[in-house]
Amino acid sequence: MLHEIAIIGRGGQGVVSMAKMMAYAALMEGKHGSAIPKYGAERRGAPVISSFRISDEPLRMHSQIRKPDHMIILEIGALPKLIPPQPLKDNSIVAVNYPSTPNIMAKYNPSIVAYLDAAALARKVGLVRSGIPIPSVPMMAAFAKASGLLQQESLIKAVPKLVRNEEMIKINIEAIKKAFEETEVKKFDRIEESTPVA
Amino acid sequence: MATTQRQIDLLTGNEAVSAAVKQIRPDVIAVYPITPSTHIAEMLAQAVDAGELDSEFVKVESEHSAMATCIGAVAAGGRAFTATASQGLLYMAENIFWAGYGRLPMVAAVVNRALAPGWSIWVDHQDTMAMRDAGWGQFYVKNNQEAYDTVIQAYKIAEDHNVYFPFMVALDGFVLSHTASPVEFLTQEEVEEFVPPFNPLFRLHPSEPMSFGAISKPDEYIAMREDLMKSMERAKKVIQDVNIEFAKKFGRDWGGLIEVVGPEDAEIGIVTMSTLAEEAEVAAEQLTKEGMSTSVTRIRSFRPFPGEELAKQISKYDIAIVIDRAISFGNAGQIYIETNSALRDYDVDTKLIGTVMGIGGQDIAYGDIIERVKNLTKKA
Repeated sequence: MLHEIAIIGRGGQGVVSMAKMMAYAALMEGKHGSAIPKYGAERRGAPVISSFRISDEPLRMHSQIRKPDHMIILEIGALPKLIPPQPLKDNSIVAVNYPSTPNIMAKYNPSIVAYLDAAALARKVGLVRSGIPIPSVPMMAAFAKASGLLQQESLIKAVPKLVRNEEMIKINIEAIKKAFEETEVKKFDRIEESTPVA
Repeated sequence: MATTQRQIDLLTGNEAVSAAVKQIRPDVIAVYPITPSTHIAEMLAQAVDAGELDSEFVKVESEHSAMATCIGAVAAGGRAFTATASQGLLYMAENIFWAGYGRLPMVAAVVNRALAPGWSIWVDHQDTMAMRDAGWGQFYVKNNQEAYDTVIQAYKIAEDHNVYFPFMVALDGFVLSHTASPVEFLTQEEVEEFVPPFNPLFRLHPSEPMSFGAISKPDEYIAMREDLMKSMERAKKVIQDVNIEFAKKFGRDWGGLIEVVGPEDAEIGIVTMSTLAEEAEVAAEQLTKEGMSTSVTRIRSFRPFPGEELAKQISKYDIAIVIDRAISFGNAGQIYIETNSALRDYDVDTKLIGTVMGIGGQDIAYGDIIERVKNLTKKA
């Protein structure tokens, strides 16, 4: 089955590398993954989106994902600009870097929200670049936990494909393990806009 | 089929091209970096620097010089490679024609990118279409695996003495060049066995002095152009044979000149190239499910142009929609113009409709293709 996942964040948060790491993990599980970055306006701090597809069959689509099945959100403020508020499809999963379910989720109405304070986790394990915590790898793990689309073991195996430094490999693996522990997964029938949800 | 354990890795289109070039081991690589082809230059330079590749990497100051360097290398009997895109290809143009008309077999990866102005770094086919009459073969690939496979095939085809002219391997900018997907490698032994060492038909050498590109009287000039035209014709069979041999040995069949995907008895045909063709495969499946039986005819070799093969395939359709990603201003899309002419040559009366999609990097999803096909067939 095909799953189309939009990865949303800001330039410098590791959106592009994370999509590639997920594609490696998919490859290790004998699945087909493709990571399509959207190039042009990317720079540190600008809203960026990357398209990730995973399927049991070879992938033939080359377009950007416009109506995602699922979303991984590294920075909630970047979301509305990139994916205008609209209810997602049935059985959609959103993994978000936030200490709870953000109120704006009501407008997207996902079935499952996985939330994790990935920035705090990144700081804790030392996943920091130029003083900024990098939430991408923990959020990848948060999504994997909520969706079951990728296994923790294959994510760990994918790390050295993109990270060369031994110390950083250890830190990234630690981040994946901790994210699997700390991610909260909530199921929703309908998210009410008026009430803050957690 | 060989039972060799082959490595699979996740590669961008640029990485796939570089991987193939590393295994082909050109004598000379001359590349001037330009978006979105830059990674090719970087990766090959790194490989030479690290001692993984013993090619002469010539650091040139422009694309024009890059092609001049390749011309010199092939004229001296060496194997050469370059990569470029868009404005870089245009700057290279004078020497592109020199290499083509001078019968110097080499391979250039062109990462398709729109031409300025307006400034665009994204894909369309205007750049390579501007070079369609340069005496080069042109392959357009639909995914990263085909990019890898076709670079390897292109050397074998270009260096064949029945062909003996240069080839471009065109891949869509960003859509392939920067998108990571799984690619299976051939082993080094397989590549070397499949593409034997370059055996030049003629070369510049101090012990046998001769001159290339000297002044030619009209009769000599005409003879050379006729010879190029005949070689282009002969190349069609070589391209098909190489594709068959590759498929037998390594299990991947890219169709040779054209690739048809979809029901045998499809009433509607989508004729296009590159990633739009693979995207259109999904559109055709959907249309067929909805009762509009559709298949995709992908032109893989635009030069030489497979007029006969195309006409034969299109004759099976009631209607064919040609999607171009470039325009010949004042006329129409190049694929449409040439396909239309082929239908006339082979007395095929299938209704042919031309349309242009995805220029300047416009993102095209299969849903967009479905909508376009429905609109155009309704009007027809």
